[in-house]
Amino acid sequence: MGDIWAFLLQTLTASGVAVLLLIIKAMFRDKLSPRWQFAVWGILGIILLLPAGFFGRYVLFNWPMWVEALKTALTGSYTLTQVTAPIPLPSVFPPATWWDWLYWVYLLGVLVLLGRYLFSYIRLRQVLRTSTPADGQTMARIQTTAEQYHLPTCKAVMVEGAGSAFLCGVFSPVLVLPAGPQTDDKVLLHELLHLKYRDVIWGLVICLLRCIHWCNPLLWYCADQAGNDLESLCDQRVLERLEGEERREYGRILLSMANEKYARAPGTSSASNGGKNIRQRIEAIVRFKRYPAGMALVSVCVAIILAAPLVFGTQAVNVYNEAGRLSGSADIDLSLASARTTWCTTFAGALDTYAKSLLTSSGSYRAMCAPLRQQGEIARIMHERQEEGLWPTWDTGLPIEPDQSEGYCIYNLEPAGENAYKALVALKLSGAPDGQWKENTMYMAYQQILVQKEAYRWVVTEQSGIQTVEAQEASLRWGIRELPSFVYSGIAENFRVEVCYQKTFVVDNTVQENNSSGWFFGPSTSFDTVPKPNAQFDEVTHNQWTRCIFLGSEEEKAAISHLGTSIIPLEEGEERPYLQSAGYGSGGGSSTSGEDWASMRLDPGWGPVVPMGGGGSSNAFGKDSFLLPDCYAADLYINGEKAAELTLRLQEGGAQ
Amino acid sequence: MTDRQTIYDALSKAAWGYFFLYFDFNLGSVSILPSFVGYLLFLSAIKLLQDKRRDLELLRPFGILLAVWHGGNWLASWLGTGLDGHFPVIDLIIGLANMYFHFQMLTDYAALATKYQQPDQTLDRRLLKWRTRQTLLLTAISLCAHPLRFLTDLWEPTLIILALAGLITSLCIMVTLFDLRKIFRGTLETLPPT
Repeated sequence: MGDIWAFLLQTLTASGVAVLLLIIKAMFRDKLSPRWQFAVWGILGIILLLPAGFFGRYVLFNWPMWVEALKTALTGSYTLTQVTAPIPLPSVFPPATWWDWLYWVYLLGVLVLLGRYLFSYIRLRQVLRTSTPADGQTMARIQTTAEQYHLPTCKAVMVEGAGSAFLCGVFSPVLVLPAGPQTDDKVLLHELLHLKYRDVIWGLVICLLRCIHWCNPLLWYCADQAGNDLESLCDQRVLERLEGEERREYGRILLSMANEKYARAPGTSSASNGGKNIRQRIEAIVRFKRYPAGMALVSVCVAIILAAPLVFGTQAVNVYNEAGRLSGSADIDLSLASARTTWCTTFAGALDTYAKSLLTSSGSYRAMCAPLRQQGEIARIMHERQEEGLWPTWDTGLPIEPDQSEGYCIYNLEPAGENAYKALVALKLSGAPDGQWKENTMYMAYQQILVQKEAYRWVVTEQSGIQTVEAQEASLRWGIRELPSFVYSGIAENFRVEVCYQKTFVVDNTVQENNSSGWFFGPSTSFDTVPKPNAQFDEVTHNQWTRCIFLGSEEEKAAISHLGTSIIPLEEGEERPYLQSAGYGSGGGSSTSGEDWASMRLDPGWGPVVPMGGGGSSNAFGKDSFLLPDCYAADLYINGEKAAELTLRLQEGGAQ
Repeated sequence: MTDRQTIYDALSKAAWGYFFLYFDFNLGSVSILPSFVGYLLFLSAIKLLQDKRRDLELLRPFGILLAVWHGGNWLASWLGTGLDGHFPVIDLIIGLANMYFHFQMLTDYAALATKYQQPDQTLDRRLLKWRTRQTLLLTAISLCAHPLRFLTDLWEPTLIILALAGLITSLCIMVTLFDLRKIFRGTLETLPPT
């Protein structure tokens, strides 16, 4: 915890769990054993030790979103609060704002309380050092009790004015007995059981957590309850070792302590813990029974079911996005807070979210996958639009509305260093940017983007502005030739032979719609525009096509009437296989190995570019999906005769 | 009503309670075998048996909570919706109450079986065995919803297998309760001393 917001997030997360535990413990108070009642506090302990909001997860309530919204409302900041450690860490910078000063006050509080506990412990140890060792008779009774119940013993001292017996210290424990009347054997048994189970350690842990959350009264209340449950557990252990009348006697001894002064010191455990608590312990003793073996099973199962959702938390996936309905400034900030705390946990998720922010113009979606440095700018644009009476969207840079029903496609995704990938996002526009609609033409927008990991979030940054292109009507996922592609080329016989290669990566965003005609026509589908921040790619398609570019003179051109190519992808060093003949006339084909062949009769006036056809295939996304062919083997046919064998190499500069 | 008749009625209600709980026939989105009826039957069985098994009385608050929740769920189904999944905290509390309720109730029925079954019968052990399996299955199903879902993609098929195992277990519990009921079928006015 490095600032007051991180502390607030941590302590609120723990508070939510504390309230739930108090409810559950109340439900099971008369049903499950004191052992369970104490052990279940371990869940709160784990929550207090886990950094709140880790991996974009929250516990029970979306505290991260509310803390972010509060922070923005009070400070105007659009940063992201992240708890890196469950303990307070001093800031290296001097306080600059009221909130920094508040954090320093909190830190001071932690130190003061720690100092106070330490001081009282040291003073207690000093008193014990100078106090009278227990007499021989008392030591003998302690020894006898320990032997009878197979318990360890420790040094014992008599202290004038001590209210009741207690154990002090972890490494060199001392049993403190009040000077004067003899301490009952059952009380000795209680303290020796504390010694055996090292309960003082739990007391110390509780003290430390009290220090860290000193300004949270709910957690202090829970700390008190945990201390009481520890004593009830020790009572249970005592009762398991006593029989009949001895048990009633033990209850009477506890009752006699109900009016004693109670001051719990750190590093100690005492049978006496205040009148009200002792009354509750006596009630527990009345309920006491040796819990049957099966109860252990249900106790563990209840604890597991309770712990699982609390420890693993919930991944935020649905961003608060009233797109177009954000009615006020606070609403926008809440939406952006929700977006910042809904992490994209996969690069596919970040790309999906970014593409949908383009499709819907949603600033919240953009904020979900935007680097932290861009959050303020997104907020500024949204607020400005809202003040101008416009929809509070973000500035996508698209010339006109995209066609949401067509979705989007990610092209040419390739690694760009550690935890970074570059790609091209492409989507179809709803019309011609210049208003001049042409038949059999679709208008595409595309943009180069970089997706990379920022701490634990995947974020997207724009590498170019939005570009538009006219393309022939085609499916986005099966490649659009007008979009950038990887180009492999080689030159022979006055021709440059080129293979253009594209990969498209698809997240399944199909949703079935229920409508009244579905029973007859079957269910209709549509594109889901809600981001999937944890998405994985479902499919990768590989598309390639060949073209020949004539480089010769008009006389040489006039001598050519037929052209053919045959290509196959090759790994570097792989032996060149026999390639399918391109044939003569007009035709072609392809195989699943990526082999393509085509031939065509050339019309008068052909060239200089001759498209030769192509093909594609799709498969599931996997580790190999990023690999590109090393090169292509190609045969060039002129006028039906094989004219050249070429090796086509990848042009530098990536997709173009 | 004789002791024998009381226990017979209570066990009948408990067994039919499981029938309502685990069998679902829907008209549209509305169940005609609503689960809350099952819990009302359990509560009625608890009332009949509270003098014989004092621990059963502890289950009454849980039974009422579960009946109210399932009743609310059933009413919501008339509106084409449901309560499950909308209130995660309440779902968790209901899940815990449900597990303990069935565990303790079956434990008490097993104790009744121990007390009244013939020496050659093993109904108590059968009940305890299915009780333990049901508890473990409920725990495993709950783990599927959280850590397993977080750690692996296999949570969905695992959940289906566990749900199937859960259905078989509940059928076996129902059959065992009907078998236990048979012990108390008869005309004797009082039960034999145990």
